[in-house]
Amino acid sequence: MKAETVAVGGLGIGMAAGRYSQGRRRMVVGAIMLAAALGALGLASLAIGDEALRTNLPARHLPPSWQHPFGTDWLGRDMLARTLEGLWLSLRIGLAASLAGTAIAAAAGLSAALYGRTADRIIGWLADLFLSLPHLVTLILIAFVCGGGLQGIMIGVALTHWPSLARLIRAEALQLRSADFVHASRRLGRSRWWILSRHLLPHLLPQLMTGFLLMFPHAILHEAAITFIGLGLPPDQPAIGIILSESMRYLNAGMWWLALFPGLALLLLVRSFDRLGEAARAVWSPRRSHH
Amino acid sequence: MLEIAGLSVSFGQYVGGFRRRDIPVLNDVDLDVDAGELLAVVGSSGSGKSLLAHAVMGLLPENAVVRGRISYGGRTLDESLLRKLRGRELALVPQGVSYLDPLLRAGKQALGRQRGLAAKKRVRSVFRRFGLAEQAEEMYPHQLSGGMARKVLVSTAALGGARFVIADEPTPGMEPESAAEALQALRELADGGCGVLLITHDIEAALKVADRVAVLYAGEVVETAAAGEFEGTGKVLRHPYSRALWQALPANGFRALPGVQPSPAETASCCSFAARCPIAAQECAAGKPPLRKLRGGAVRCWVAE
Amino acid sequence: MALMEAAGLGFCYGGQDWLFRELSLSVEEGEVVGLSGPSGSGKSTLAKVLAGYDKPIVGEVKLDGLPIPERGAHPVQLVLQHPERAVNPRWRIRRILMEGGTPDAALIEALGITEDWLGRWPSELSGGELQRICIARALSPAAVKVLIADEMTAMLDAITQSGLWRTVLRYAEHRRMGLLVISHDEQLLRRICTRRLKWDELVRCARAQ
Repeated sequence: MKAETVAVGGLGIGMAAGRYSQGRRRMVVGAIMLAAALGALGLASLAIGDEALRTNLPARHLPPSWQHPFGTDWLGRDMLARTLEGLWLSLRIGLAASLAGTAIAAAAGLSAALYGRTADRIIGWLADLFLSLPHLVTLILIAFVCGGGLQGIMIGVALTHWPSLARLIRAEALQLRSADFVHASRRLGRSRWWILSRHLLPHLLPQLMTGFLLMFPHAILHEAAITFIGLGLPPDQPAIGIILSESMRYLNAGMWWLALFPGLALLLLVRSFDRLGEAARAVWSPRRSHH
Repeated sequence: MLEIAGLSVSFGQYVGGFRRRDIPVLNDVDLDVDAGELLAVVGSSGSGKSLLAHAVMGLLPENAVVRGRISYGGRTLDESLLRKLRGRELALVPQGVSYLDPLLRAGKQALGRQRGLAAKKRVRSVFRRFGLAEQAEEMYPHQLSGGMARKVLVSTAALGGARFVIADEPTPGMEPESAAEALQALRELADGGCGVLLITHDIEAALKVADRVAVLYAGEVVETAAAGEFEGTGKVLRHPYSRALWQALPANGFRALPGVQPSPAETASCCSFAARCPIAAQECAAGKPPLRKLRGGAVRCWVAE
Repeated sequence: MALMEAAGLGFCYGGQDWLFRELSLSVEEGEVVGLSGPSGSGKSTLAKVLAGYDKPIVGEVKLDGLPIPERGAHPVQLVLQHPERAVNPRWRIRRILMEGGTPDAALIEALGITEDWLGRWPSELSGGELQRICIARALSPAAVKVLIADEMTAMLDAITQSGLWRTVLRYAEHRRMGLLVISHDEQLLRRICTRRLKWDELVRCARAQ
C-alpha cells in the first residue's frame, strides 16, 4: 500500500509545543544580547579611564557631535563616558541588591512553608507590612537609617523587593512538601535538609531565577530614583540617578542632551531585563517545569 | 465509518546536537469501526494506544511524523475535515474529569451552546438514558462521583450530535460499579447508532461492553477478535499475546509471562512478541509477520492457525 | 505478637470530619492482607498514616510491639497507584532507585529492571516500568518489614500485573514481611491474599455518609 502522509498536528498540543520552543528561542536570544551589551558596558567603563571624566572647561556645554556623541556637561566632561560609568555602577548595585533580595525571598518563603504555623504567620505579617508601604517610602527610610551610601541603597532595595517572590516560593514549597515523592523520600530515611537541597531547591530554582531577573530592573530603577532625590550616593560617584538629577538643572537652559541620553540608556537596560524576565517566566512557569 | 489503514507514527527527537532520530511508536496499524459498533483497543502502557486516539483526533505533538491513512465516512480525515467535525460529529471523552468546567452545573455543561426549552428537554432525556438522575443536572462537577462525571462527559458528546466517539482510558481510579456504569453509557451510545472506539488497559471491563477487541502490543495490532472469543482458557484466540493477556487475569489463572514489552524500534524486522512467545518458531525472528485475516478476525503471527 | 499493629487509630484533615476513628488492624509476619471498600472511604489515607506520611490524630501504629521511630527508614513502606507522582520528575532513574539505599540485586533482576533504564528520565519509562522502580526502591531499606500496596497495579495490564505480584509475593515471603494490599479488584485479592478485610469491618465509627 502506498503510504500517504496525513497532515495532523499544528493544533492543541502541537500549538503549545510551538509556543514553548518559540519562547525558549526568544529567551536565549535575549540573554545573549543582554550579556553582550553588559560585557561591552563593563569593558567600556574600564577602558574609559579618568581622562574623559576629567573637567575640561573649554569644552563645556557642547551638544552631541562625532567627538562627543552624547555631548558634554557644564564641566566639559564627556556624557557618553559618564553615562557608561553611571550605568555600570547602577548595574553592580542592582545585581548585588537583587541577589540579596532573592536570597531573602528564598529563605523567607521556604521557612514559611516548612517551619510550622508560627513562622508562617510571622513571615506573612512581615511580607504584608513591606507590601503595604510604597517601595520608595520604605527605601528612603531604610537608606536614611543606614546612613546613605552604596550599602544603604543595597540593603534598602533588597529589603523592599523580597515579599512577592517569597509568597510565590512559599506556595510552591507547600505544594512540593506534600508531593508523593517528597513523602516517599522522607520515609526512605532521608533528612529534612537532604530533601530540601536535593528535591525542593532544584525544583524552585527556575522560579528563583525568574524572580531574580524580574527584580533586577526594579532594583536599578529604585536605585536611580533614590540617587535622583539625593539620598543615595555622594556626587562624585556618577550613578545614573545623580547624572539625571544634575542634568535637570540644565534642562531649561536648552541642554537637552544631558538628560536624554542617560535616560534613554537607563530605559533600554531596564526594559531588556524586563523582557528577559518575562520570557523566562513563560518558559519556566511551574506547569512547564514538570516536563 | 472510521477506517485506519497502515497508520505509523514516530517522533522526531534530537539526540545530542542536531542529529535527528525517528522513534517509532505505532507501526502499520489497521483498524475499522462501523456505525453502531464498539471497538475496544486494549494494550499495556507503552503499547501506543493513547497515541492512536491522539492521531485520529489530530492532537499529536508537532514533532510527530504520521504515515498512513485515516478516513471517516469514506473521506480522508485531514486537517480541514477534522476542524469541521471535531467537538461535534467527532468527540473525545477524555481521561480526566478536569475537562468539566468547575463553575458550571452539569445540566448547563451538557447543553453547551444550545438554548431553549427543547434543548433542556433533550438534556433530561439524554441524562435519563445514561442513568443520571434529575438532580444531577443541578450539581457542580465537584459534587459528582467519578462515574457520574464520566456519564456527564458522555452525555455532552451525545448532545453535541456526536456520531463517532473516542474514549481514552475513561475508567481508571474508579470503583468497579462506577466504571461499569461509565462503560455502559458508551454501550448505549453505540446502540444509538454511534461508532465508539474505547481505549483501555482493562480488558475485563472492556469485554463487558465491546463488540470487537483489538489487542495492541509494542505499537502494533497483533489481533482483532470478537469480544465473545475471550472466554474459557482463551484457546480460540489467535495470537499468543492475546492468550497470555487473557490468562494473566486474576480470575483466569494469573499466569505471568517473563520479559518486558520491547520498544517498536527494537523489533522493526522481526515479530515484536517473538522474544516472549511460547510458540515462537524460526521464522518469527527472521521477519515481521503481516496482519492477516484468520477465522473472521485478524492476527499478526506466522504460526497461528 | 503482631508484626504491625494499629489500635484505636483516628484521622482527619485539619478540623474536618473524621475520616476514620477507633480503627484497629494488624498484620502478621508472612501474611498477605487484602483490604477493599468503597472509594473515598479513607483506605488511601489509612495507608498513608500507616506508612508515616501523615501522623494519626489519635492512636498509634506499632511494629513488633514498639512505636516506630521518627528518624531513619520507615519499616512500613508504601507503593501507590501512580508511580509518576512518587518519583521526582527531574531525577534520572538510577538516582530514584538508589534513594533509599541499594536494592537487592536478585530483586532487581526478578523485577526485570535492566541497566539501560537507569540512565533515562521518568517520562521515558512506561507506567509499568516505573512502578517496578518504585517497588524496588520501597523494598531497598533493610528495615522494611511491611509493604502496603495501594492500588499498585490498577493502572497496569493483566500480564504486567501478574508478573509484578508474583515477584513481590515471593520476595515478601523470602524476607518474612507482611503485606497489606488495598484494591478494588476482588478477583486479585482472592488470588493473592491469605486474609481479606472489608473497610466497614475495620472501622467502628466511619465517617457519616
